[in-house]
Amino acid sequence: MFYDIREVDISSFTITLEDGAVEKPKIVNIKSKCFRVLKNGFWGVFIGDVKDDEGLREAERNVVARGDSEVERSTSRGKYEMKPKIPPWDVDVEEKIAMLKDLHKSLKVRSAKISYMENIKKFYYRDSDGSEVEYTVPRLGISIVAIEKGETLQFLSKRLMKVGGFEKLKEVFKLTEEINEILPKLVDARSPPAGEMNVLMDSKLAGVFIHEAFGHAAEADHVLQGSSILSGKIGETIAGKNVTIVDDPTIEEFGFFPFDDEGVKAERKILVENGILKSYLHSRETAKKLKGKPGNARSEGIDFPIVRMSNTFLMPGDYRFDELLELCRNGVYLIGSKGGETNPATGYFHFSAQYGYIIRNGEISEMIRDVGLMGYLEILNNIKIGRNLNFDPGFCGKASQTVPVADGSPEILCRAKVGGE
Amino acid sequence: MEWEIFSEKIVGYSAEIEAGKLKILKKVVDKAYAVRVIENGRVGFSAGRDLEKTIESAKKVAKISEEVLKEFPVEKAAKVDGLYDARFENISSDYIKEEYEIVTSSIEKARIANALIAHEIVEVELRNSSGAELTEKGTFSFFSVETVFNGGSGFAQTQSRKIELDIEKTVTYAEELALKSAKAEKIDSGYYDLVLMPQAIHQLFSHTLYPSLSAENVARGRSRLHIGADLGNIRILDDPTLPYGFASYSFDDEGVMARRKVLVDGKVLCFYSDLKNAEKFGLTGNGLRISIDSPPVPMPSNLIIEVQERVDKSRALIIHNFLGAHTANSVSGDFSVETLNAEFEEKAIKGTMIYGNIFELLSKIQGYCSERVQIENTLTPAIRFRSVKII
Repeated sequence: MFYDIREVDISSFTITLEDGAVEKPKIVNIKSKCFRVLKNGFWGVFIGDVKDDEGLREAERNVVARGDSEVERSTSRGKYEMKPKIPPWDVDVEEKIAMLKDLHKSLKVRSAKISYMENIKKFYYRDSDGSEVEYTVPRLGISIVAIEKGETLQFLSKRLMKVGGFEKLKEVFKLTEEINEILPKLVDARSPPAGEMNVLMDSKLAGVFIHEAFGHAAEADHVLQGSSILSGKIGETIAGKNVTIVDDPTIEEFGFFPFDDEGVKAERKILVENGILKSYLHSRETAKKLKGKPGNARSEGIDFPIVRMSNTFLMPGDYRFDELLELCRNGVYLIGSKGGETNPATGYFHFSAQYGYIIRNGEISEMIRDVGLMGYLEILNNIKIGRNLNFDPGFCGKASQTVPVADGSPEILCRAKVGGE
Repeated sequence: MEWEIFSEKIVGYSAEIEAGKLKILKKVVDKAYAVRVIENGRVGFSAGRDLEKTIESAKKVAKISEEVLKEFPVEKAAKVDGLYDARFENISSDYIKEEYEIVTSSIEKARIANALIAHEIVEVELRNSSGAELTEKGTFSFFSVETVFNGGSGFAQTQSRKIELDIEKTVTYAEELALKSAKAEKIDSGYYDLVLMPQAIHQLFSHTLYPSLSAENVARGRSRLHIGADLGNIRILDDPTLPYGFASYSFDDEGVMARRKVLVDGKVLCFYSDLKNAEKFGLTGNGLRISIDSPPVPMPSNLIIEVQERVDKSRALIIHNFLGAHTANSVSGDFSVETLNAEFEEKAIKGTMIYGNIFELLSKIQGYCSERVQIENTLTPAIRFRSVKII
């Protein structure tokens, strides 16, 4: 029998500025415990705020069948505390509100919602093999949703979210600069063209492309479920030789964690190297079954951990931006992400840009809005990759469990299908 | 000081099936509090497991708030049938194992990639300084399944306030979609009549239409809609009193009695509102919390979609599910989304996107082509639309 106990204590403080006024500020303190027992190949789970012996008894009571689950047994011990330069909780609330009000004043739009969030996650883990792990990680961020009306009513959202302290927000006014520059044009922007075409993506959109096009299919639970097109392809060429994709939870971006939710020490993993599939992402269970390395199991709060990405990124290539533009010649240049979704079973994925431009004869031309894109894994066979790696923070909602991630990429040029008129 | 204490106790069982095998049985027992206070007219909010600490945090946060509310309401609870099924109290692992047996026996050729069976009892209590003392016990069952077959996949879901779930029908539907999807072909771009099946209607409308009917969004100029705006041949009701409705309740999360209202009858008639926006938009009983750790905001209950004329599905592209519906534009209503399970003249279609705007799409409604079913908070038939751009 294997068991583990997780305790997660999250304290958060949120301030929302609605059209310049502080509304719905909130303090939330939620402490929860999850008990898992693996017996006869079956997982019994209990979530509740009870003592350890009672929680384990309740979990064992839920072992009601025989199964084929087994886990990679390893013992981890360790403590980690991220100590930010400027702890968010040491900054006066008046200073935070003043910053938000300054951001609001700097916006030239019809309506805006600005949210500040800080939280501290304290995590404790122990298991039947003697693992004992604990860590404390603060996260914070600012998100802005601005609305403007022209020919159409449009919104533009921008966010800066990091692990660490208040010092990570020093570039926050760049968000309002971009909104002020883009949104007044976006309301009068034209619909995108339709069909398969050359698509040049900025690093934010390209990061989501890597997350959706490749990342989910590399999650080993999908492989075991028979719902990944990457099943059985370890060692095979699945992308162009210039493609190397890494998942690294140890980088201090929004998807950072020192230990995963099964107590395994976080590690950088090369998933694709020069086009060859090297590894899947693994939980203890998928690692045991597919002979991989665990360390990628994550959960929202204290839910059952499943295989997830962290900070996932495409390694830089050789192309300068102007070279990509010239190679694109005619097509679209797409910027920012409104999110995406993938069907790992078919390899088809969908994602949307915040806005973009027509590229005509290698030059950036008129603005376009509401650009949806679809594609499939094979697109990775022929992409051209820029030089500058940037990360974009976000939340991934696989299996209704939301976890913080960061997607990274340089600009890329590829062919994809664009939805438009 | 005015105050409101909202508590939520959840006892739930869920089972997860992976690669056709029952893998996890989980029990959750949870209770948490959400407190709002009004001090000097300003509203503070906090949530947590410790009531005393939560009250103190709410008072602390009220000092920085600029949100104004005079008082909390005292209203009765509406009488709503089918919110609670007493059989949930005695749910056992044997019952869930029987449900699992139905899952596996309902599928023939395809395989179950993953499935989730969940049953939950939610007990809500709301007290406030105006004298409200309200309680409601609700029960919720939910089932979703993803099937795979030779590179194709299908997804379906069902839910109920009763303990029984229509698992067999849902698995059969998901299997049909996977089998068809395995033989999917591409179709030419162009303008096609569309039939959106109930799952697709829910996915698209949730992200394009419903946000524009929120009083908060209208008040802040974040909606294209206004009273009297023409939406074409459609009637939309928000009805939290619907017997056995998955999103039914007797009072909202601010203690306002549940009320049935017609939001749209060809033209926009009203918007769903919380207490804060009630002065301007009326008391509609739609102040709801996304979760216990969020303050109430305007959210819809059961949205009942009614379309007048019965039409057939012939020569229409039939869409069962979308991929990426959440990336549609919730403010302008523009969408550019991908079909996940679609068919045209009995043949499955792949690699297809639809592009348009929800308000233009509504003006193209031709009629309905199936009985109405509930998908989460949407009750809708399949609806046929004329001439939509397919890429």
